[in-house]
Amino acid sequence: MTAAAVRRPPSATRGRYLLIMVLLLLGGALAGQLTHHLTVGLNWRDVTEACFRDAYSRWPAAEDALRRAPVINACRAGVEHRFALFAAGGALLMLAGAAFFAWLLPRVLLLRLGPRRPAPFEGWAAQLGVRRAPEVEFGPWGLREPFTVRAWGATRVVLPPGVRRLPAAHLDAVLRHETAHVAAGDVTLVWLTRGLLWALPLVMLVPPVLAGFDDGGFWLRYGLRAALLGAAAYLLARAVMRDRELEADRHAALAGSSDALIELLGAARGGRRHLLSMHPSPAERVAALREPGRLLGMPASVAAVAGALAVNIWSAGAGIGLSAFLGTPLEPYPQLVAGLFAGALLAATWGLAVWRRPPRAVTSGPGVGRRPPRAVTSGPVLGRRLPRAVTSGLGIGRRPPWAGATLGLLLGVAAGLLVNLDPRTLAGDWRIDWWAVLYVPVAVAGAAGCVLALATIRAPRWWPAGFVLGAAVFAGALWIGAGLAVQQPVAVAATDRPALVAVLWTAGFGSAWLTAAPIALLALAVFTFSRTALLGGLVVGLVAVVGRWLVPLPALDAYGEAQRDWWAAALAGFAVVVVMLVWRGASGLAAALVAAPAAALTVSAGVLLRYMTDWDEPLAAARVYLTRPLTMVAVLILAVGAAAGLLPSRPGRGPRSRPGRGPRRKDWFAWPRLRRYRLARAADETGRPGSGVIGEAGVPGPPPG
Amino acid sequence: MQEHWGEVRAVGEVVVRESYPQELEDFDAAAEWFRTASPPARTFRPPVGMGVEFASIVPIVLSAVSLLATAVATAAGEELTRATREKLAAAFRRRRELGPAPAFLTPEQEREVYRLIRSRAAGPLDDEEARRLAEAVIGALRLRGPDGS
Repeated sequence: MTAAAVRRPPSATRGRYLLIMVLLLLGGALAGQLTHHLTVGLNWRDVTEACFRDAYSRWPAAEDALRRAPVINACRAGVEHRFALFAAGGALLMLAGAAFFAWLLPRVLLLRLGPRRPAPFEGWAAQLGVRRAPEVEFGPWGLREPFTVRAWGATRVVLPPGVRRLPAAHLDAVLRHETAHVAAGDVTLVWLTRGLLWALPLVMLVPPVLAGFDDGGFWLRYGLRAALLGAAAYLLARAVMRDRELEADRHAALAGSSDALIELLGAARGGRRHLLSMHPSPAERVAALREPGRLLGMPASVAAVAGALAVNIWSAGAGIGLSAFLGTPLEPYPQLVAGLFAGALLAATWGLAVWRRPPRAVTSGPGVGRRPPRAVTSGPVLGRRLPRAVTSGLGIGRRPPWAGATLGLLLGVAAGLLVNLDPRTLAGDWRIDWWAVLYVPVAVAGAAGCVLALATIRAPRWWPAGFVLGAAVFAGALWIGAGLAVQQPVAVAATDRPALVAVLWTAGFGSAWLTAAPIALLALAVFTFSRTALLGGLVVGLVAVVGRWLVPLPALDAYGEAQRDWWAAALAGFAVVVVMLVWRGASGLAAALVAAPAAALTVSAGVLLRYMTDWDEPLAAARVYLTRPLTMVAVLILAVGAAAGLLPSRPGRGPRSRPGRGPRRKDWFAWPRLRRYRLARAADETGRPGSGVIGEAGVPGPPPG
Repeated sequence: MQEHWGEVRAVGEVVVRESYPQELEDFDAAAEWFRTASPPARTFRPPVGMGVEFASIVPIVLSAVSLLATAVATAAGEELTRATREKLAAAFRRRRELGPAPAFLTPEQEREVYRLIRSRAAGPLDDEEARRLAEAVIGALRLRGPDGS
């Protein structure tokens, strides 16, 4: 055994735990809202009607609506706050229930297990980054599998007595695997996940039990939502537990048990594994050990659940927030706050999965200082070098691994809109906004493509900034998607343009996000900045300016000409987006996030300069010419950004490469060095030359065990 | 099983000593646990385990041997011919002080027992281990044959 410490790998499952919390909160809030209706709903109705009667008696005229509204809101604030309290109470009850079961279930397990005996094993904790070593015990003779549990003030690794007939290396592997769970903080969280599975049905049963199931249709719709929440909970729990097993295997492998784990798992039987199994099959685990890149990515089911929960946080959260803030200074902000929460949720789930990479192995120990040649550990992406593990995880140079997740997210958002957790949707006459079901998923998937693009251009250490930008982009996508759905009928009815053009015109040139969208787009451009992309954007912009001036078009009035300018600028930027997306997928979108605004602003600048002396208010004109084309570009990026997850991503050659001439000489020299490195690593790992397998290019393999 | 416990334990110990000597040290404790544990408690799979099973062999051996001891009266015995069941019943009822046992299992009867043990052990053990256990039990029964041991 080596004393080398192994860093804990960053994990996307943190975001999935957040999803579980959100699921609990939403389920509890729905149950709480319905409990409110069943217990004090009539009082809420009476007070609300009285408030309306009183306000109408004081200001009966139709034109007094703006005077009546604040009075009605102030009058109803008390009952609305009570309604929000019921929702919050339900959410807290659900959390408390899950926490209670997370506390209770491990104790019940140990009590059912029976007497345990101390086992004479220690020494793995420090190596795996665990400060407080778990107690290692033997369970009774009937125990079949090792497990780790926290109860009665200690974390305990409980081993079946059968492990004693294992060879020492295999026993080490078992202990390292279980200690890796402790290091990753899985023990409490996994039991919390199980607590969720117990608490959810119990709390969701409260309203129908109170009501006595007296309205079949209503409770059928409620039951459908409860069943979907349960299915989502199971999918999440399954994804979390499966990923945690793979990560614990990987962590143990990095600590020196790679070969032993592969042997153990290779000999294990599939046995009781099935489609809904909480454990990955032994074959999957061996494959993940041999190819750590499999740990990257996100299951489509998890992406779908994330999307469905995000739109529910946004819609149900905004509804609850409106009740909670009614009659207070915060009254205008519930939708913004709920949108930011939903954006943050997506950034934490999708974003963390995107920014995740395999652990970079050991920090000390034999052979640790030896690194593979830089030229072969990294791939240039628009002038920057990223670890190959990252580039391969992002699908660079091979088939896109994010296609399923992108489609899952898209479908999940649509499903969340169709079957959402707003209690009003349980009424039989609830009408679905089909335009929202079209626009919101497309916009959210476009935002997901943007976050994917950010991760192709920046190393994983940039993830906090990526998280903030991602949250803003996802929240903006929800805002723009829902706004488009609201604007759709008006935009189409108010003009004789084709419907698509009318909607785009309104979205890009006449919406509420004319300031926010350009700021977000410029922030993305700064984050992904590359001189090559900037230069490319300027060139495209100049060509578009020349085209705008040279192509003869029938003359229009000043406003019509201005609109042509905006379209020319926006379409120059959009052309860059489309070309780069098709050419390079997510990497291309990253470049386009710089090049497209550059192209659009170049066109705008050219027009502004050309008519410099004609503007009555040059600053106001400049603001319009800056914001409108950029807003249109932002909307169009959201419309097509999903393609970043669906198309293969290819890195650029970088500014110093020689296009068309193949790899530079130093790259050619690097390949023999890579081979020498691999042979040396193999010798380190196995004690004999040339017989080992390197875990992943760019990541040193485990130290000798 | 309690009435045949002495014979079950003796045959089980022979199996473990001959085929799984690394677990012999634990045999007494494991056998005592097996005797007192209720049948459902004899197999415990935690809901959040490692996903790889490392069953202790002693309870599995004792379970297999007790299966034979009670074959005459349980459904498991339906997989055996009547003659085999009677011979097994006689063997497990046998007291050494009563003298040597009758002629023991014929090769065909051994094959029946082998198939039974192997199929029942296929749950907790992989195929190779189940085969090994079945062979070990047959070996122990031979040792416990007409000459006693």
